[in-house]
Amino acid sequence: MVKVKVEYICLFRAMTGKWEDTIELGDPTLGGLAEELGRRYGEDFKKKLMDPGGTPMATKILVRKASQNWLAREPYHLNGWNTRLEEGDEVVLIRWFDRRIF
Amino acid sequence: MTFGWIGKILRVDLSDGIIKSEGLSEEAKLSYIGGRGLNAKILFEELDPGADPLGPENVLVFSTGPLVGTMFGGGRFHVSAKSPLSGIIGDGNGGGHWGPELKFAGYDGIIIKGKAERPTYLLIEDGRAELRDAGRLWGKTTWETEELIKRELGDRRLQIVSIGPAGEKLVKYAQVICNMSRSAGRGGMGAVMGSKNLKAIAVRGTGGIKLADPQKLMDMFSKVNEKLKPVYEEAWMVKGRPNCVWTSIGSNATVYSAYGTLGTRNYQSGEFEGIREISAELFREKYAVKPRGCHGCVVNCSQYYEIKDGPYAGTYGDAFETTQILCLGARLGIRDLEAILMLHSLTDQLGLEVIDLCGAIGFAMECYQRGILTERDADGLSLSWGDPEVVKTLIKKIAKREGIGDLLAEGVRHIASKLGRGSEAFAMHAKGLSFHGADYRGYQAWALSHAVSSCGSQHMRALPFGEAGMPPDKAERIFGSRAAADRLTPEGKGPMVAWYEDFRAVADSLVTCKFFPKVDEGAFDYLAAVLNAVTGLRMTGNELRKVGERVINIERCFNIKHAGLSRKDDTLPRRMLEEPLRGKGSEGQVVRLEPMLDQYYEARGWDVKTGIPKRAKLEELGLREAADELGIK
Repeated sequence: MVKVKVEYICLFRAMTGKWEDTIELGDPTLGGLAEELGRRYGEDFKKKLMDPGGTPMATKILVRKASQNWLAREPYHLNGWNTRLEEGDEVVLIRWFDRRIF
Repeated sequence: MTFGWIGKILRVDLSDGIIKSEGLSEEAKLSYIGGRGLNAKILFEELDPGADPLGPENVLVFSTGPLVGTMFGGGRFHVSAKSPLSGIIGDGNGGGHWGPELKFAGYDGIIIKGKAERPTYLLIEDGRAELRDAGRLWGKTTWETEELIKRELGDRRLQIVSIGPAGEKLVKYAQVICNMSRSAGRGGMGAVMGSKNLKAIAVRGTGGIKLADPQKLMDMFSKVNEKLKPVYEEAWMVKGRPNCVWTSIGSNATVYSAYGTLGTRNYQSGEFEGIREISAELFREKYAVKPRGCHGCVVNCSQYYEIKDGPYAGTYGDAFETTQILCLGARLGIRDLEAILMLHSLTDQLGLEVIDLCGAIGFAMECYQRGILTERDADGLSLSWGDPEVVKTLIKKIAKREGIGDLLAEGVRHIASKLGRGSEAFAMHAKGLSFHGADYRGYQAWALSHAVSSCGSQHMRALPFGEAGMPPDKAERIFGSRAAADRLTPEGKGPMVAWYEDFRAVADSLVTCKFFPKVDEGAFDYLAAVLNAVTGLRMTGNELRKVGERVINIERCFNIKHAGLSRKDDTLPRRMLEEPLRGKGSEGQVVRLEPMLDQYYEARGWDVKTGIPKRAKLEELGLREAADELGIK
């Protein structure tokens, strides 16, 4: 099991009512985290989290890895949903209005 | 028949009181469209290089564009003049209802020169214009001014842009305000108004705007509405509280924090321990009352707020967003959201532009921290971080130019040059204008855009957010480089910033909201389609981008003409270039400016050594006369 910190910003904060969680993962990947959050907060949360975008509402994910000096990286600079998470890594989840709408 | 534009400009000479109407030329419409582009053209042509920004010779231009008054983000106006803060081109873009009303009253814009003998305001009603006495308005806040003019004329539907006491006292970063909190004018456009003894411009019109293809426009707009449905459903009402788009944008402060790029305590750190206490998320939960929009806008991004109890009970205001959280919060170390709202409301009433205001105060606080400023210098005030009552006192002193307020009213660059002792290294400005609160060491393209911006530091001048959120394959298609999508490398940033600058210049010239149009692949084509439906033109996306490029180039020419700017001026403070950022998310980053400047000038067709546009580029854009005037071989 790997423990990671998850932060919630904007609508994810409104949906969870909290700023952060510490979550233990059996499948320590970004995809595994999405599954776990789906179990905790429901399928709608997971659906929004995995939203590929294209509508005005969009999800932004940042991963801060201890092994990479905590630099905040978008998943496509890592390994997408297969990005490995290690003990103490941090994931920021942002659900907001994407201004590239039309 | 003219579609989109009204086709008329009002010219006002305050020195002799002569007001006349003149036509808007076809050349001006096609080459510059309106707004920012038109203003830059007028300033380049009509202002002599030696003009004092606060002298009667300065030219103040308010203008709209063909999209103003339509539902396509058309609630805005653009105001420009030679800036008293920077000495180069100064301008700002404001929302609300004033811009459309000016068109309904029969004008695309107003060119103002001279200086009135006594406090004056300009009234424009359905094609008629007159100068009126503003003696009893002088000294009043922007909110009081709006109310008094409406009462005097007995018309609640007047739209009024005005200055507060800060503009009257020529605070170098005074701005103009309309509709309570819709502000415009980085670089002291309010001070320019004050220098002309012009307190306000009130407009009222019952006309309309002719559209070339109303059906097509309506079809396009219906698609916009369709796409907005998820926003209505998901974002606007969460748990029974208003949570409009701007609150999302307000959440940028929390996002900057996640990147470790919150310009805390004058950019000494990228992290602020109190960010959650002053966040947009908390604002939404506790203080937002209802969203308000600009003319014709379905997004309604502005948040009206009230504080119902506590020490700041009775405070209210509008248009609270990221910048206020960054500037009045993290930058000054204030972690009390109610106090921040109180200070925000105060700055709008006094007519102060919050970025340069907090740039000056934050810089003074760091000087105090380092012993460069003392309590004695500061009228007995302790300039310690995080005390909202001290900040409130300073704001009032600045607006009155009283005591230390007189020094702070000059802006951060001037204060640093006066204090010296190495303080220039942490005077956080570009070309005299302060940074807005995000730490650009974590965003290479954004940093570049601040260094090269034609008006000095301006976070919206390019806003190249593709570097922190765009998939690399898309970045390659748009900017020619996958690396452009990586905020941490200087690679690919020159062409990217040029692209975003051109796009923002087009939006500012149309004039439309920067948050409304698509800023993605096909962005210029989409805006061209909207422009064509409004005006009947047949402009392509590429041609429209050329307009943006022309605007950037004429602004560059203005700055060369008036201040001799060149590559050496396209720079950032030493803290940005040499001091590694401390902030989880962007730890250790500095701005790697020089290679990005090379790429940028290359992308622009400017001389890489000097940063001056090449003659061939200016001729390609139809700016041969500017090249001649500047002696560019």
